[in-house]
Order: sequence, then structure tokens, then C-alpha cells
Amino acid sequence: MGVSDEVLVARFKEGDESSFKELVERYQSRVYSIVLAMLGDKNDADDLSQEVFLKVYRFIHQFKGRSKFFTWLYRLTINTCISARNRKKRNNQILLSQSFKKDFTPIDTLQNDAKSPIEILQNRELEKKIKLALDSLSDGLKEVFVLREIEDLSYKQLSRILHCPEGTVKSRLFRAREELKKKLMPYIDEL
Amino acid sequence: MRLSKLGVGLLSSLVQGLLITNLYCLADQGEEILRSAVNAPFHTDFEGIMESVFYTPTKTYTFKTKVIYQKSNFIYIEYLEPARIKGKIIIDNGKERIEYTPVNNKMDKLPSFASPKIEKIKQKALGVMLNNFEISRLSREVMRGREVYVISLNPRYSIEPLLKLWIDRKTYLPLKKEKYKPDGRLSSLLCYVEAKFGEHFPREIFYSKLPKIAANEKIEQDLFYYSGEEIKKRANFPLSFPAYLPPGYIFQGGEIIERERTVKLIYTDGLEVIILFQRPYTDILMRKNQWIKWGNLRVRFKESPHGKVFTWNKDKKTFVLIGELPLEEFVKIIQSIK
Amino acid sequence: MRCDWFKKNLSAYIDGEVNFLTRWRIKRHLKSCTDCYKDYIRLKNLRKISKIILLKNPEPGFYERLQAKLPRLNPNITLKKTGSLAKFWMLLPLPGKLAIGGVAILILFLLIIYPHLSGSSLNINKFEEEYLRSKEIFSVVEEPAPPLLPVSEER
Repeated sequence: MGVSDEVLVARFKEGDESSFKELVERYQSRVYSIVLAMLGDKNDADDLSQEVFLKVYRFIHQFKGRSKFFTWLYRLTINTCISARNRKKRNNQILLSQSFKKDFTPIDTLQNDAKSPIEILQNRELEKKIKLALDSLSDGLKEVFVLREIEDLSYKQLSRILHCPEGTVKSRLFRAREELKKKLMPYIDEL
Repeated sequence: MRLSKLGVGLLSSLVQGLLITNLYCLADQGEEILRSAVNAPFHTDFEGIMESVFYTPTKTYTFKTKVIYQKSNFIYIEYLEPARIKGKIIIDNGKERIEYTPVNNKMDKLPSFASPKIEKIKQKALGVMLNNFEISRLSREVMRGREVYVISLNPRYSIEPLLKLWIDRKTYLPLKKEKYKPDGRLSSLLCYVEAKFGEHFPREIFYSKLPKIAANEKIEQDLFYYSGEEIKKRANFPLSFPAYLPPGYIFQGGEIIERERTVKLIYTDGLEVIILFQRPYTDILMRKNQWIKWGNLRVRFKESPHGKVFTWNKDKKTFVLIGELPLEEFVKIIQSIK
Repeated sequence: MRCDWFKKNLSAYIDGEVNFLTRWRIKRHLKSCTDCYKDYIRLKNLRKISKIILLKNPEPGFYERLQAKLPRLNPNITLKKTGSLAKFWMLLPLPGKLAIGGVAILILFLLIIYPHLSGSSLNINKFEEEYLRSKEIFSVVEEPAPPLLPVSEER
């Protein structure tokens, strides 16, 4: 078991950049996974993950240690994803009629052509369909689902990160899983 | 062959008659086109990007907006530039108007501007305009692949056009507008840089662009305008009216706003609008203004994209006057207010 | 108890977020109800797939790419050692911080906001917005689209 996050943060605040590096290496995969799941684009995910850590670098003095570091970090990550998505929406200046068909193409119905569990997971085409199903979730449901599945966070921790009651976390997770279950029924039945 | 005096007389009468007939035809046809143009936005499926430029003596203001009209009485507007108002959305479905401002994350619900009631007001204003202006030229051109009418309007006292409109022949939708100052300089230019007709979208698309926040209900009843006499009775303080109005301007109506603390008097010549606000003494915050002094009156003044803004205090009241006129006209109006 | 109730709580059950009594009830129910048991298996499998799909690593060299941006962002961003004033603030207990904050807010209010409150001051922008609304209604050949906002932007 390495040095705790709190110690690394305290050292970083004192000017120790190697502590910052360790924090980045500790959380880069998780932040990247969350961002990729929320945005769906690999290139955007890399840039945005870096943006998250740049914010950590600039605003670490705002972290007072009243919550866990990862709570603060994941809150920052989710907020950054939301801002990026809103920015993208507002920057869209093309005629609606040109983007209309692209925006509103219904999600393809999933075909029951899977064979075995390993083949399912190794099948890139299927991975895309699973991601599509995830993308079809509303923002509120996606956030809580992604954080729960990537980080195994408790409902209490999730409620702190997402600033909502635990009951809301519970119901959103339930709804997210119900929606995904419906769309991915053929595959999860076969595992 | 030399024409006899009689022949010359007959010929010139014929030419004059043709000119006069042509003018009447021009006026008739132009009036018809303008009347149709007033209604056009409410009965067209259209999507476009509009660029607007406003010239003032000190600055130039530019705006870019996405405009979508849908049959019938549906308007969607989204500001694209400048950065400070980018993302502002207006949706008007003929019954209510929702305005979302991202800067302060505010959503307001107002009475609709796309209602048949407003259409009637505009048609009335057209009558006023046609009294004050005449159509000096009407031609046909092609603009972005569409056939358009080009109409020039000038005030009856001048031959210089104040307004030029490019109106789509098929739908009567105005596609371009140039406004000029009396000295011939361009005052503003509005033009659709992209335009597409006939596209119909499900309305949910537009509403889905609004964030999920509660809207402030700004006015519950319809937009309502009082006559001069009615507004004097309804205001809870004595009102002042200008004794002088520029040529062609009439009083259109009055409104009581700001929780009955402000009275708004609207004057128009069909083309332009001047509004005089008055309320019990209030401190008005106005940045980047100049001071003008006329006798005992000290007036603050600034130029904005849509005209001049004046504010002053007199007789325990605060006045705000906004409009697009030469400064001398405003001086006369302000000095005549009793 | 009907299956609806059990199915609603399966998600929380899998997450270990139910109390002892609920956990016992659900466990007992799953032994006897095939339908709910199938649902339980589906949820577990969904978790399995999701974790595999979601957990990804960034491209190698993530920190190096990040480091390259750090000085470019703002050469003045350096981690300063906490000064004595900052240390004093950090050591001050919460009631003290609240008292100092309250006094600062009161001073600001008296200096800046209060003078404008007497006579309820208004921003000229409100009048300009009203003007634009009326202009859209009362003038015939006004720009077809938007009422313009009173912002100042130099070209």
C-alpha cells in the first residue's frame, strides 16, 4: 500500500511536483475511462483528461481536505465533461437541416448473433453497440452508472460527488441498468 | 417631320400619364408585397443564418443569429455571435415566448410576439408607414439563387432612400435589409448569409435545446397597449407627454411595466420606433455615457446598436428616451415634454 | 411480497447497498423465483461487461503530454509555499473565519451596494430590452428575426 492521496496532496501543495506526478499516474486511467465513457470520442477524451489534471494543478489550493481527494477529482471530471459537451452543442453553427439526420438517427436494433462470452467481448463491432447503448442514456443516468462501474463507489460517495441524495443515486442506477438490460438482453443472457 | 405643338403636348401628356400610372402601379404592387412580407415569417418553413451589422459614429456592432420559421406562427432564434450573447435562445410558438439566456442561466416566459394579434398591429403600422414613406423603386433580382423583389422606400420629403428590402418572390420573406441615414450613409445591414426553404422539423428538437430549469413567468396576460387617456388613468403618478413629435410619428400605445412603476409610451412612423419611459425618481445605471446640458436640464446620452439612449430627471421623475433619430430631433422632443 | 419490489431492489442488492433484513429477504426470494433470479444474473453480467468495456487506459506518455502543457498554460503558475498570512488563516478556527468573512461582506455592502439601493436603482439595459421588444412588434419592416441585445462589441 503506497502513500495516501491526502499525503500526496499535502506534499504537492508544499511544492513537491513529484507528488503531483504520482497522483496523475494513480488516477489517469480512471479519469480517462470516465471521460471516454461520457464523451465517446477517443481524441476528445485524451485532451479533456489532460484538462482535468491541469485544473487539479491550478486549483489544488481550493481543495481543503474536507472530503476525499477522489471525490473532489471525480466531481471535477464530471463537471469538465458536462462543460465540454455544452460547449460542443453551442459551437454547432451548421444548418439544422444538415445535422438533423445525423442527430436523430435511431439506435440500431441489436441483433442476436452472439456466440460465446469471449467472442462477445472480443468482438469490436459489438463493443460499439454496447457503447451506443451507453450513449443513449441521459446524462444524469450515464454519470452515476459510469462512476459506479468504474470505481465501485458506494452510494454515499456517489451522492457526495454528484451532489444528490442517496435515494436519487439508487433510483438512477436502477433506471440506467434497466435501460441497458433491455438493449443488451441477448448478450447478457448468454454470459 | 416636325411635331406640331399639339402633337408635343399630347405626347408629353401621354408620357406623364404613363409615369403616373406606373407610380400608382408601383405603389399598389409594392404595398401588396410589403403586406405579404409582414405575414411571411408566420407562414413559411425556413432556416437561415443571419448577419447583422449596425454602424454608429463610434462603433460597429455585429451579430450572427440562426433563424428558423415554421408554419405556422413558430419562431426559433439562436444567437451565434458575439460571444457575450452566444447561446441565447428564443422560442415562440404563437402562444408563448421562451427566452433562455446562458450568461445568467435564466429562462423567461413572455407573451408571444408571433400571435395573430401582433400581426394585426404590424399591419396597422404598415398603414402608418405607407403614409409617411413612398416606394421609389421596385425591381427584380436574383439573390442566392432565389428571385427577389427589391423595394426602395424614401420619406416623402426626400428622394434619398431610407430603406431597401430584398423580398423573396415565392414566400415574401425579407432576405436582406439596408437602412440608411438621411445623409445617405449606411446605418445597418441585415442579410441571410445562408438560407434554406421548405425544411420542416419536429418542434421537440428546439425545446430539447433548452436546459431543464424553471422559467420565470414575466407577464401572465397578453401584451396589452392602452390609449393616451387610458394610460393617464391607470398610471399611479402624473404623466408627461411630448408636445413635439418628428414628422410622421404618431402615438401607438402605452404600457405599464415593472410592477406598475414604469410607464412606456410608444411612438412610431411605421419604420422606426421611439419610446419614452417615465417613472418616479430612480437611479439609472448607465455606463459609457456623455452629458448634455440644455438650460436647467442635464441629460445623459449614449449611442447603442439600435439608436440613441437618453436619461434625465425632472419634476421628481426619471425619464428614459430611446430611438433612432438625428440628435436635433431628440433635443426638440425632450425640451417639449410637459 | 410481489416480484416488482424485489426487482426494484436487485440493483442495490448487487451493489451491497441494502440493509440486513432486505438482503435476507431478497436472498430467500431468489432461491424460489426463477424470473427474479434470471434478472439478477442479467444485472451481474451487465456489470461484468460494463467494467471490461469502460475501463480503458490513455495512450502512453500521458504525463509527458500533460507536463508539456503545464508551463505553457501560464509561466507564472508556480506552487507557492504558504506564507505566514495564509498559515494564520489556515490555523484560524471556523468561527473566527466566519466572523472575519461577515465583517468583510458588511463593509463591501456599505461601500458598494447600499448607495444604489436608496431609490432602487435600475440598469439602463432593462429599458433597452423593453425598447427592442416593442420595436419588434410596432415597426413593420423590422429585421425579420431577433430583437437585439444592448451589448457593446467592437468589430
